[in-house]
Amino acid sequence: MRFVSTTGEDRRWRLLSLIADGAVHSGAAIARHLRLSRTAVWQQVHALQALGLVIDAERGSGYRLAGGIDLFDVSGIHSMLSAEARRTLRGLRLYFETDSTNQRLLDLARAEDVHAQVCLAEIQTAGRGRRGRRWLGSAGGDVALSLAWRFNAALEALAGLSLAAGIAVHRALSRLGVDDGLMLKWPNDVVFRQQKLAGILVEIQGEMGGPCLAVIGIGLNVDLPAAVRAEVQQPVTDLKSALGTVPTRNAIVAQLLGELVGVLREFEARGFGAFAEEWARLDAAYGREVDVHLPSGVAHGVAMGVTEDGALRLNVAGADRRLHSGEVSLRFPP
Amino acid sequence: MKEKGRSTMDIRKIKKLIDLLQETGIAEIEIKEGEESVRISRQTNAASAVSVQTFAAPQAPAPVVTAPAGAVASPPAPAEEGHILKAPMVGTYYASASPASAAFVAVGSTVRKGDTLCIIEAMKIMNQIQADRDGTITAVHAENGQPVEFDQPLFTIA
Repeated sequence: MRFVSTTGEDRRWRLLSLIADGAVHSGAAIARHLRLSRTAVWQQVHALQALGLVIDAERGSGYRLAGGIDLFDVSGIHSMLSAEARRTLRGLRLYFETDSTNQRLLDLARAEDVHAQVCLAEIQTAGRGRRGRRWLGSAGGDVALSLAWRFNAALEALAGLSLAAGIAVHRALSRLGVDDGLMLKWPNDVVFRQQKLAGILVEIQGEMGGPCLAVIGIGLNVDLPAAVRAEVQQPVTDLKSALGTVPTRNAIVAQLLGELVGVLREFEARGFGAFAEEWARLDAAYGREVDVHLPSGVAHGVAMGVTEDGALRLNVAGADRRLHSGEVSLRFPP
Repeated sequence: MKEKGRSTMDIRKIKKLIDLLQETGIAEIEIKEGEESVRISRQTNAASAVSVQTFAAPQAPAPVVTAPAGAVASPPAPAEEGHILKAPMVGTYYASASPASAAFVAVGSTVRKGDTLCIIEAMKIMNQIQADRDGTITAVHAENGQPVEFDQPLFTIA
């Protein structure tokens, strides 16, 4: 297993890790430590500010990152992984900044076998949500990770994979201590008291008859700044609100990877059927009136759970419809 | 059938003709050689990639070379006219990576095997549907944002 961090090559990251503690650091001390001129330090501070980090520059005293930041660390993640994940994962790449962790793995897949490889980034500049929608994150305030997995199965056999991935995230967050009110919203949003806590986007490439490469991308809100919350156009929450405290992001990543590996291996062997019961128990919309936003319009009905391949069962005026895509929203949010 | 019937039109020659057909994009080719003639044409939708028919010339009474279609045609799986790529799954068809970006392909686009042609989304799984052969898109059968059924035609690649 190769755990690689490319962050050290990035001056911004080197500066950030120096001021991560939230204390005041003099420009001279930073310059000495990073072997940069004071002007270069100032430029890097600006570059970090451009990423949304709040760094106070106090004349005469130095720079201070308000509140500090909890940065990823590959050896820290490695030390906290479950034995199964350590055995199964083949590599992890940590980037300071990348467009999208999913895209990194899809690109890498052209040149190498990326099965069981993980990609993690402090900052995603083009984090992907459904249909090119941006996943809005903030440095240190979320977890964006992707895991690639090769299935020796046909494309249609992977229906339900995204729901199973939702189960993995749910299990990880439960282990981290989130309990009451942690549920799943079809197909795979993880919600806490009906507010979005994590989202999953799966991208699949492959021959129709298989094998297929699935890249599972997870975005989890850890400690969202108010500005980001305001920008997201749906009710969102973060782990800090759900737990009261925040585990380290290394611990969160290790927990997510551990559960993901377990779920993927089980999905490989038994398909979505292995998770159907658990999913039904966690279904945030079951029996409730929902609007399902489809490309062609809005379907209104009562959510009746999911089929054996993960499609949403919607009762529309007495008729049973099965939906394979769309966004679900509760008609009467609690 | 007499063995000498194969003397002028052997498998190697037929294979060469098939290659020629592929390279040039000609729909049909007919070659006469002595008593025999061979006609090779691209098919629009059959499972076998290329049909090879050999005929005895009218004046030639005896040797008819039976069509070795399977043996010749199967290994290279040539791009034929009117190959239809069908939806491998139920979902919503998207012609582009995001609403703001351009369509992956349009009629007239040249594609290579493995190129992404569209996305079919089901349950927040974005399935990048790839070309299963080289060729040119001659028809797009699905409409952006609309549901597609399993096995529904998506593209014609020629």
